[in-house]
Amino acid sequence: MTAVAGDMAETIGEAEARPLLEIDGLTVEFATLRRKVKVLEDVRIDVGKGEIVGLVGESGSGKSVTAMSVMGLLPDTARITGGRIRVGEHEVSAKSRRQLRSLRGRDMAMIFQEPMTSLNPVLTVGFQIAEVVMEHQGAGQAKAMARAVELMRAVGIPDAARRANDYPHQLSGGMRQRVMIAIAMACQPLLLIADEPTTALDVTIQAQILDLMVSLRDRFGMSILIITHDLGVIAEMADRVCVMYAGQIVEEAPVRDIFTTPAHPYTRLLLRSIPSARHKVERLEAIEGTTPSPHAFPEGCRFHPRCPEMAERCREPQTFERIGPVRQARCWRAREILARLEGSS
Amino acid sequence: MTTETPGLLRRAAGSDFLLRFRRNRNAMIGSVIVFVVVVVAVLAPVIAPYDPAFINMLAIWEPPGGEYLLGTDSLGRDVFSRIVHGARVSLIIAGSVLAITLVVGVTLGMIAGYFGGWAETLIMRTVDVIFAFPELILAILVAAALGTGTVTVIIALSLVWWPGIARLTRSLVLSVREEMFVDAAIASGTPAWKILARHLLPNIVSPIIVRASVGVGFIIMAEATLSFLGIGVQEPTPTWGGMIRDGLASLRTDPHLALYTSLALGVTIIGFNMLGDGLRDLLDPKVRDR
Amino acid sequence: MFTFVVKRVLGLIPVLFVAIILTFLANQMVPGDPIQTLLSDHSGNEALEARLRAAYGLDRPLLVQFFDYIWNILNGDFGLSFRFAQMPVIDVISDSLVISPILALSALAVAFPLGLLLGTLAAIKQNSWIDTGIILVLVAGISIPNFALATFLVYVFALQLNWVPVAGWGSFEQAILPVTLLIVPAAAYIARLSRTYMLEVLRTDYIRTARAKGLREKVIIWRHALRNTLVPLLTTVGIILGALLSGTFVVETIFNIPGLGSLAIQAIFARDYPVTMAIVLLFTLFFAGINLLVDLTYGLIDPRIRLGGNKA
Repeated sequence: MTAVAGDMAETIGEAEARPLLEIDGLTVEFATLRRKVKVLEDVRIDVGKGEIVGLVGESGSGKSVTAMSVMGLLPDTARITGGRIRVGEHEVSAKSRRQLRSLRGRDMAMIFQEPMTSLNPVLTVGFQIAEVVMEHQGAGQAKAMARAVELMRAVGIPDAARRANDYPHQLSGGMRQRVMIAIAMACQPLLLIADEPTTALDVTIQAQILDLMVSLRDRFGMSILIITHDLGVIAEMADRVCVMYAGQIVEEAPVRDIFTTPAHPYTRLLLRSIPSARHKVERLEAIEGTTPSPHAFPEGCRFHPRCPEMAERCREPQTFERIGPVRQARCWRAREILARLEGSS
Repeated sequence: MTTETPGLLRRAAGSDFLLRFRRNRNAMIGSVIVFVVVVVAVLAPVIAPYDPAFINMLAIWEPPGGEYLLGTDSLGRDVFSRIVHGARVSLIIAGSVLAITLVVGVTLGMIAGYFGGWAETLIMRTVDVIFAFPELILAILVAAALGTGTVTVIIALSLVWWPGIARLTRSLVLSVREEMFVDAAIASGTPAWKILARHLLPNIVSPIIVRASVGVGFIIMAEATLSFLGIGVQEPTPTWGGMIRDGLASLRTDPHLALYTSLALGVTIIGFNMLGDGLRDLLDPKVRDR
Repeated sequence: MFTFVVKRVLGLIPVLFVAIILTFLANQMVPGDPIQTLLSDHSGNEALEARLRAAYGLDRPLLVQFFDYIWNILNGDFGLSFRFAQMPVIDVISDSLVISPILALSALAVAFPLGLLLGTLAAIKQNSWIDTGIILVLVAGISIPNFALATFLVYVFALQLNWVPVAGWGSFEQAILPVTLLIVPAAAYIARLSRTYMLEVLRTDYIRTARAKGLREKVIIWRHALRNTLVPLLTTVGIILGALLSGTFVVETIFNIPGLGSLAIQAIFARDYPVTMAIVLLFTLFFAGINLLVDLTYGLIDPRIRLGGNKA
């Protein structure tokens, strides 16, 4: 190999190794009636090629805002005031709205929580899928509709050719979510963001939808960022997990580690407060207190008022501590907690 | 992009009301105009330089300026004084209609919504029938049947407007009735009228106020229209609608009567409508969380 | 779909029935004896009085008169006019019959798209100067009564600038001002509604999906948003038409247009009740008919109603 080729190989190798989605130091401010409010602060999330990363947190922690920031769908009252977002080759945070529009639906796609209301009631489902193809691949309507039927089959909708002419209200919730997935997959995006995709569905349907998403990842190698408050979904699907609290990431670890040795006190309490067949708990524990509102985040560690391990040092601003080769936590006691857990196992 | 504020930023609006009121352009401008009109109407006898009914055949069709600020009409009456007193007439009529429609409409609406049964059927069928007619045509018909005059106008307009209030009240009552605190009140043996007055009423007041404030402007317009057509308030009581009719005939030679009165009427209704719009923006829960 | 239509048509009947009763009662309630008014100078002449009473059928008991009236209407006979002695009401109003609906419908035809466009524009540019400007214009549009606006328009355009004739009916130029006066409040009302609905639609989840799909803004507005705005907007067409019909009363009076509106006003003043009643009935019929048409169209546009089969 010549020196140049060697460099190139290295660069290509690097590019392959680089995460597909890179969110670094993301800070987002909203302008409200009285003043500007920081809803996200210093958010760091990486999603590798073909990887499924889960973003977990309670409602109001800022998960959806993160997703909207990546897609460029923040409302006019919001502004990214710090950090950067990269999807593949594109520096998303630096792009204008017009530039982002051509990326949306093509290189990155998103599905939402409410399949009931996420589809336009006056257009057929087939057309709503075909639209994406028509817009980004310049196909004519007939060709696009044919592709739409193909996609509907690929996401497991029976009798696809006929159902393509149905309207959303004629489909069940699970079917509608499959249509949403078909819309998202239409141009084979590099990244799929799924914001609470199964929360509004029946439990039996939930598993089907999650399986579908995983199988699509296996087939097309796309990356998935799955946002949810349901740890069961995380356990089902994710390779790695980021835990979010009050606009910040508080822990990041492979999925197994999160469940077996959660290092951040919030993660630990989160696991203990939900019923799960995986963990035998005698009593469900509620976490004391309530999630703080962005108008009044606590000083230093945002969780400290509710944390059982709280100490004086918690009132100071916290940084990420690396506590393992691929693990981090925003807590100065994380290492100590981890050692405790590993020692006892 | 989207204009949704995320759920985590929504706040109770009670404490912010004055702040948002001041920010709301509609509410501010509207309330200024309404304030001015109300003051003028209340102080009419003080402000008006002349008696609005005083006929002076020596001074007919005087142009604006000099002795007569806005000129005189075909009977030598001072236009400015008539406009000022006309404000009083419009507001008194609008106020009466509003009072009657609110009392009748809310009461009947609450009865229909709370008790149901034949009372509800009777009331709501009546509402449906009245709704089947275009508003103004019904008002004209009633006014025609009862004869002209101020009282007739009030009756006609009240008759046309109460169904809207009743229908709104009924649907509000239906939705609030399902709330738990009503069941609690019933379970503890509270008499029906107390439930209606103490529990239901305070919770449905807000949308009714919005509807009323949005409606005032149209009531004033309807009264003016009836007077314009000649079946409303009669001479010598000054009414803007009647004055415009008088002025229209002489538009070519003496436009001041019609033009200034039209200006007064237009601005007044604009003011009330803006205030109504503003209040709706502020009080309507659907719009509020934007 | 068919049952829907039949039910609605049947629903019209009680309304019309009540309309007939009301107008009949209004007639009876009015003080004064129309025959005496007719007789005026001949009031002593009893033979004449008896003949007139018989001719108008007023010598029979009230109930008989009522049912007779209904029967006659069903046969297209609205009785005789008082004002134009013994002329059938039909003849009195036939010339004016088409004028008012023409005015109202042509105003609607212009006001609807105009209002929809203005409202959509304001919604898209929400909170910008364009939006604020449009809103102010719209508030003025619905607030200024048509006769007040008429004074300004007639003064400026007819008297001062001489661009249009002042009054009368027959030529296109003569129709401009009257129709404009009808268009302004209707378009303003539609624009305000369109703006409100469009703003709501733009905040829905399916518009969010459309943006997530990377569709162009123009496509989102025209294909996704507009259609959903039309649906609730159409339900108000009936009300708007009703207001337009009422508006013709004023506009025809101002410009001396020989339509049903001005005829009705004249009939009211002349205490010509058969004519008044006939016109009110016709308006009500027209109004109810349009409402029915709107309900049917609504079903065509909204697939949820057309197809039913809601799978929760």
